[in-house]
Amino acid sequence: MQQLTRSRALPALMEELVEEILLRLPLEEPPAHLVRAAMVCKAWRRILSDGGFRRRYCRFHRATPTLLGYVCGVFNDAGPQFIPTNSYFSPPPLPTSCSYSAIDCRHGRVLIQVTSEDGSPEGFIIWSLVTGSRQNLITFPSYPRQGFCSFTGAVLCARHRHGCDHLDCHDGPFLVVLVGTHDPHPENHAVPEHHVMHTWASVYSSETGAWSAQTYSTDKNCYSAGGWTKPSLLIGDTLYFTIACHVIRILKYDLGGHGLSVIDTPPQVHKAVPIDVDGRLGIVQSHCSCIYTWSWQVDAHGVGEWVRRNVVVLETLIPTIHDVRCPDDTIHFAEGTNTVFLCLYNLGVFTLDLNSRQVREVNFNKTCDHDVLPYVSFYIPADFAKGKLSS
Amino acid sequence: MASAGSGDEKAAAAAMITLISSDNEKFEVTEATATLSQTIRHMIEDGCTDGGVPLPNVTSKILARVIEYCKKHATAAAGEEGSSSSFSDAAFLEVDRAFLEELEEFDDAFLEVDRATLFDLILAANYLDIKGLLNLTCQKVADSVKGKTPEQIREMYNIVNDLTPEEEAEIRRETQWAFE
Repeated sequence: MQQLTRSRALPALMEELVEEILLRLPLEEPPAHLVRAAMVCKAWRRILSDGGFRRRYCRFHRATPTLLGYVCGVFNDAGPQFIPTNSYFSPPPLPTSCSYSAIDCRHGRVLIQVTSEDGSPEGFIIWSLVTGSRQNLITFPSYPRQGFCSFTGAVLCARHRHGCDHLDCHDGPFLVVLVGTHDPHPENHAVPEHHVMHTWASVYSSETGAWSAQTYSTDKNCYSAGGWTKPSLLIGDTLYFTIACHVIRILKYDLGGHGLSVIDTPPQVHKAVPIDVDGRLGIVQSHCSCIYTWSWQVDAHGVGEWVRRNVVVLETLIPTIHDVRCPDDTIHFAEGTNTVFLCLYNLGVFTLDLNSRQVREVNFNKTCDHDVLPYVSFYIPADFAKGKLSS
Repeated sequence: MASAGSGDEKAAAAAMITLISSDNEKFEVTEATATLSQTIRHMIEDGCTDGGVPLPNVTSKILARVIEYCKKHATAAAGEEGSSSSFSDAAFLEVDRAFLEELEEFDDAFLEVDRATLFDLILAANYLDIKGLLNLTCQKVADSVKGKTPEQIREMYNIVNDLTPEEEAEIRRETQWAFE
């Protein structure tokens, strides 16, 4: 065997040992160490560009997904658009058409709904922002069309319930969960005792290529099937969707048991969305230039109630904010982070870290985007990994 | 934790193994020290250690350092095991912390070597499959690269830049933020 002790320069180390060294470069945001190291020589660039190495690096450092930006659901009537919130993530452009609107983002994927010219839903596009790959779903489940109905959807990795860490599943199998409300007799609105609202859910699996049978549930509480505040929220095996009408209500869908139920939010809470508070459901609310968080607490007798936990006064953080806010302002939670997006009419889009209370202006566009879908994913920048420069 | 097998463990700890460096120097070490190396552990398990274990890839100078590392870490591991059975939880934590601090100081001092020795230690740790030592030495090199420009890294480690100017310019253009 060759006398390895003669080695005196780093290149003489076997490539697997150089990999061991590069693996230990610290994880930082943005990962400048990795990019500088990739410029040292061809061998280093080759190691750093390798998908296997990048996955190992993320696991070694127990990396968590990063907030990379947000998808604006419909931008200037020209389809969805991605707006980065950092300097290093510039994905290929999203497919553009006035019949496309983004409705959810998760596990690296963007769920884009395709609508036909007559306004009826045609299907979906599942777009991976990091890899730029596209999967078309030209199918839509049957859903109740009589009366008044509305729906929204969620996308997630099909392996989520089997412990996928979502490091490299972007182009893998996925699930699309559609939920809707259905008001078969809108004329009964005035007679609450006769008024029943149906909710339904159906799941598409890319592995079976089919929609599941629909889950139905009825809810006697009267609420009009209004709009949906996007995106959905996934905590464990449960998806939460926000029904925005005269009150905010949360539709809960259990991916394991396929159960559907409606959760009431604290009274008088309007502009609010569900959030993940240490793995449990909470609510973040925007009201009169303040941000409130709520959590569900159960007392010794098993009686639960919403309890207000925290208040952030935006005037101290965003000096230009006025006391009376526009009704068009919206709030969105970035799943997997502690960040909310505040879309303030005439001011722009801001992120607020609920823990550190740090505010950052991320888009100066004063006309403001309302359908903000935060995009959180694993990403190690470096275009040299895409094979453009492969030696 | 004290266990029914502790008598056997003591016997195993007392068993000696002979390691032979590439320049034919012999080192007598306890089995507990030697088995920090997975390579040697497998040889012991396969019963191929009679007459000494030849290590043709490791010089006596490097093997002496590797043994120094293994001795310290084997002792620390044994000390930790003993402490849990004879101390209260608080005392155990205290002892545990002291061990860890001592080990950290040892590791820091151990890494005070020139680059050539550091690389030889990496090669030896890899060949002998000593996870802790490989981690320690590779981390030391990674720390030295941290925050350096590509030019500085090449200079430090005699690396020839074989990227074409076009390739370099393209990476730089795509990732300008990393150089600002």
